[in-house]
Amino acid sequence: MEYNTWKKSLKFHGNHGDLVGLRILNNILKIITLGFYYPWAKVKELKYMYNETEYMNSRFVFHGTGKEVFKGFIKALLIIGVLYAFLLFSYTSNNPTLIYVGIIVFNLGFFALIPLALHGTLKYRLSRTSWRGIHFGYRGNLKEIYGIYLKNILLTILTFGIYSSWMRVALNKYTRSNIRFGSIQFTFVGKGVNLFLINLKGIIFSILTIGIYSFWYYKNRIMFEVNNTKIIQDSKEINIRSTLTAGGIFKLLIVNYLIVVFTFGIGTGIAINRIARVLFQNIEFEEDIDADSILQTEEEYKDASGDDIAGMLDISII
Amino acid sequence: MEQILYFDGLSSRAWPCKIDVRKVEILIQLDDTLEIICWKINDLISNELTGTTLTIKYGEYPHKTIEIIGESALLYYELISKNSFLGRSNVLWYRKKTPIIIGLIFLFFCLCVFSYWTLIPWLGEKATLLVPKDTEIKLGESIAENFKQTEEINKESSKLLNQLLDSLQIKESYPIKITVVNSPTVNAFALPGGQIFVYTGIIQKMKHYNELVALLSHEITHVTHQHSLKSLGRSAATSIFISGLFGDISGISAGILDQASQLKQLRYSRELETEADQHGVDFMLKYKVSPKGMVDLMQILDGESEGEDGFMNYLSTHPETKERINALKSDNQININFKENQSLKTIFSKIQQSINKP
Repeated sequence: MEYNTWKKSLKFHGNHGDLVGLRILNNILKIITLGFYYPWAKVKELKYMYNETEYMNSRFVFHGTGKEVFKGFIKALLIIGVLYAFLLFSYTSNNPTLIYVGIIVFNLGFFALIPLALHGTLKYRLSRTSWRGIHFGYRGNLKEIYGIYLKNILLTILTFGIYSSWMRVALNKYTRSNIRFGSIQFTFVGKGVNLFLINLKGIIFSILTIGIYSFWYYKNRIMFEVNNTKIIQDSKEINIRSTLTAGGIFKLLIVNYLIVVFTFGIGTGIAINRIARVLFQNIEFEEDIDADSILQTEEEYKDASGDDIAGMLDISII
Repeated sequence: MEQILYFDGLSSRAWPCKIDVRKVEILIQLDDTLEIICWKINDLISNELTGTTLTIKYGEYPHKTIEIIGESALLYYELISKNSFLGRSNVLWYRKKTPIIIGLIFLFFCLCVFSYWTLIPWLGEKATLLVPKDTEIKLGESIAENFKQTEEINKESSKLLNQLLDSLQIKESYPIKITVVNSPTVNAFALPGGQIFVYTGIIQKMKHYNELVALLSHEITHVTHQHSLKSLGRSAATSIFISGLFGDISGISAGILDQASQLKQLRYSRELETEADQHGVDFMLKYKVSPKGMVDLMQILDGESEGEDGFMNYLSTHPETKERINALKSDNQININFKENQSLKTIFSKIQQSINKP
């Protein structure tokens, strides 16, 4: 008989009342300030979520401040505002050519912002995250990520979307290998062809089973992301895996859906807590890292613009 | 589990310790080495409490940190807050204060209702009024261009109707342009910036030019009072508010509220119709056309909605025509009569002829 020696070292302690209360308070302040409280609300929620996440008996800490996120928020608002203004301008020009140009520039603009958002979010969010006083960091280079993104998006367009699985893998490989947690590194070993097969199977079976297979599809996508990520400490590789089941995802999503609908959104905090709990407690580590020997290596970084652009483009990264 | 840990910011090693918070300094004694470290309270970077975790940061980056987990976190937090210049930073300050939480939920509920019904639509309306007039006119023109491509336009009567408007020599702040659409629909509508569409169905039912002028004056009021832009602003603001509040994972609640918002929009559109009726009468008086035409026009619309179920009338797009007729009749000005305008009469009969052409 084989014993499971893998370790469930991640725990989430979030309390439903705390998060529901926090979100209500944040919403009240957002309404009163006509939305300008958003950066501070976001920071408080992140601080809460990080603090409730425990790895090997220590909690994560989010160091970002409302002021930093607010500055990023204003920059992001300006960039996205310019895109919308150009669209509106071309639309009211009554000139068909200019309208088409406007639509194309608007959409290209959004596509062009994705690497910036990805880069900015990783850089800001990770630099402001610590565990046991050691900060995470992202060493990726904006030019390089644009290079990878442009090459891959072009191939994705030329192959009518088929190449998107390889694109995802290329971006994962680049970003994961540039994440640092003090002296610890990460790597991503997934293959594009495997993700393509997961997607192909997922889409075909989800259609054939009128959506029922989508829970297995979710499970496979999460497993692909988690199981292919490895932690490297002192040139030793540590494997991670997800034990999430399709049934678990089904229960999580259905119950969340009912909670949110029947509380008219007030219970969204409960749903968020449940997602975090299920996701984290289903992550297993082949063995624990040496928690006492991680050295501080990363520099401080305070620009939150990328993070805010990501928020506005509605892409969630972490 | 109660624990106090010290981190030196250089490595991840956790040093269990005891701390003593004094007026100007914090003394930290490491359990393993018995070494004593002294932090000046004025040099603290932050003192943050989240639930039962207190994080105290000290010095330049990479900061030295103390983490206190457990019930004593709150005690240390209060003690340090009292002695330091740092602002209070307790993310979950309402914790275990049930009356405050109930109060907050109640306040949140009231604010949502108030914002949803009053504040947000009002703001949306005000925001659209910032749109420059030129942009509004161009927007109307481009919507009109799109609409014209899908409909059959009656060029001859469109020309005649614009001629009728010219003969009134009206002076309005928007360039009014009327387009007649071949369709049995008994209706007309106005776009932002001065574009008005009239269906042949409604003109066919008219017996006098008064009614046609009434219709135009009603639609022109929609234009000059920027009704469609205001409605657009209100509904856009409401949907931004809803999606901002409930986030992405609650599409359904948002959907339910969207239905409510449509009912609300309907109520608002009735207010706008009544406003257009009243100002329409003023318009007719100004250009010396008997305002009785407005009542007659309403009667045409009323005839159209007859036969519809009474219950459904509540949701009809012609809001309570009978109520509108009564409101108009209660206005004494409605009985003022002007002598017939021969030129309007001639154009009106030409329009009727052009519409009835096979």
